[in-house]
Parts: sequence; C-alpha cells; structure tokens
Amino acid sequence: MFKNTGAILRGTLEETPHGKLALAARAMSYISALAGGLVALCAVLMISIGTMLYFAPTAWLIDYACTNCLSKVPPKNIVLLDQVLLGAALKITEPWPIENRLDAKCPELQKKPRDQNLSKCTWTPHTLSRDEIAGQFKYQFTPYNLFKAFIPSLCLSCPVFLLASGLMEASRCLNGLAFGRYFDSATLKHLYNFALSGLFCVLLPLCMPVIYNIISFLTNSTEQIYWKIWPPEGSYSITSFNPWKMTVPTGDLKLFYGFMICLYAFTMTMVATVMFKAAKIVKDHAEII
Amino acid sequence: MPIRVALNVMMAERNVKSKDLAAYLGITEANLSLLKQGKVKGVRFETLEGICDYLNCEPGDILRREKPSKG
Repeated sequence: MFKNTGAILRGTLEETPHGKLALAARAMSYISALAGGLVALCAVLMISIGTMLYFAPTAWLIDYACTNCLSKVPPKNIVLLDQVLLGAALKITEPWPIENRLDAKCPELQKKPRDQNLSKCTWTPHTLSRDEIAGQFKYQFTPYNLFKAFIPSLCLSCPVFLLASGLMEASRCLNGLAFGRYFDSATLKHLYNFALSGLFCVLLPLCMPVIYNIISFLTNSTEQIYWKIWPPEGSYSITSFNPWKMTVPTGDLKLFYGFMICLYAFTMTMVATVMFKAAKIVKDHAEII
Repeated sequence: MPIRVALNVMMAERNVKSKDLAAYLGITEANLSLLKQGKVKGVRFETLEGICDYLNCEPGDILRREKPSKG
C-alpha cells in the first residue's frame, strides 16, 4: 500500500505544474479546506448549543433569577440595555413592575418595534413569584419539544453547512487546478458545486422568514425565546435569545460574514484567473491541426 | 516565421485536391486551408504522417525552415 502511495505521490509531484499560480491555487486549496472544516464545526456547535439553550431556562436559571436577581434589585424600572449579540439585554432595576406590556410604559422600548427580540415579554402589576416565572418559561424535556428546539437550530445551520460544503468543494477544485487538471470533469463538477453552494448560502437566509413562518405554523408556536442570566458588573440583567434572529447577521457575526464573503470572493477570483489561463491554453490547442 | 509550410506546392505538384486530402486526414477544408497558409500554431504528428502518406513525401518536403535574412 505504501509503495503505491509513494508512486502516486511521485506521479502527482511530477505532474504538478510549477508556477506562482499553481502554488497560489494549492495554498488557497489548503486555506479553503481549513475554513470549510472550521465552518462545519461551527454549524455542529450551533445546532448543539441552540438545541440545549432551548431547555436551559427550565431549572436552575429560573431559580437563580428568582433568588439572586429579582429579590435584590432596587424597585425603580427596567431599562433596555444595548442590543447584544443575538438578543437583547434587559437590566432589571425593578422586579417585573409595569402593567401590561413593557413597551406601553418603558420609553426606551417604544423606540424599537415590539416584536424585535422582546415579543414574549409580558409584564404583571406585581412581582412574579418563582413558580409564575417557571410556569411562563418552562419547557418540558419531551420529544416534541426536542424536535421544536432542534428544527430552528437545524434551519439556521443550513446556510453554514452550505458554506462549509462550498469551501470544501472549492478546495477540491483548486487542488485539481493546481495539478493542471483544468478541464477534468471532476474539477469542473467541484467548481459547479462550489458556485451552487455559494448561491444557496446567500439565498437561504433570505428565505428564512418564510421557513420560520411555515415551521411556526406547523409547530403551533409563535416565537421561541431563550432566557439566560447575564450578570454584568454589579447589576443583574436577563438576556433574551431568539435563534431566528440569527438569520440577520448582527454585531460580531457581521465581521464573520464579511470575512467569509471575502474568502469566497478571493477564491472565486483565483478560480476565474486559473480558468482564464486554461481557456487561453485551449485556444492555443485549437490552433494545432 | 522561420518555419514555412510548403503544402501548397506539394499538392500542386501532385495535383491533389484540398477536399480529398482533408477527407483523408479527417479534418475540415477550412483547417487544411489554414495549414496551407501557415496560419496555425502547430501540426500533430498524426496529421503530418497522414499528409506524407497521401502525398508520398517526407516531412521535410512539407515543412521548410527559412533562414532569417541578414541586415
């Protein structure tokens, strides 16, 4: 087996075109493969964490909120902090005080649309007891709830999986180009898959509101907001986390998307350059009779 | 161009029609015309062998090197 591997490697090295473009294509191939692997890992983590977060508020988080936050905060008001990554932070300076909805009383919230990150915030005239809070945000660990938690995470990970798959295809395509297999059917197939993945990766987030509505209708759920305790220095706040809002990149995600788009654009430019050179070679070949 | 294709001369000497030679070689008349005019970047050995077979000549009779004129 090792003998064969050696022969294949020797053959591969012999057929490798030596040139700056080939070298650059090989380098880009490795970078794309690495980025694809990392993105795939991110997608898996997104699914796992997203699914787990669905059930996070059920137990100790609500207990923690009731014992440590709501009982100790001074009775003043609830202030909307700056929008944090994937959600919104509420700094609690009064334990659930305002009647009806928060946006009816809180001037800070009136600036924002009601359903932006906070659509499940309902407010009562009295301080909510531990049981009441637990009842409001309780999620039972049932197969149906597991399915409901898994679906949005999976849907949100689809573009990321497509991105990873596209980068892997780009890596294979660039590898083929680096070895001079310009018009090999496999190389062209990888290029086609790469372009297709890129296209769907861009288009899928645009369709996400429609998908969200369909799934919400099918699962009979309006919106799923995940609550977790977020204690900054000296104060308490609760962060609502809605995974569907991840479809619109905000904050650090913008940087990540920007980097990925740059990588895609650079890879496409590299492929286009190599293909352009290949087209010239084909033209030269056509003039040999 | 230092290499000149003398296919025209050879064909005229043997009274061979372009259509027949193109059919024998399996190429189009347009390509044969380009070859006769020297407007191609290369000739395949296979094509050269076919021409030599048909015209009963050597490759050197078809391809000639023109020496660049001094001054």
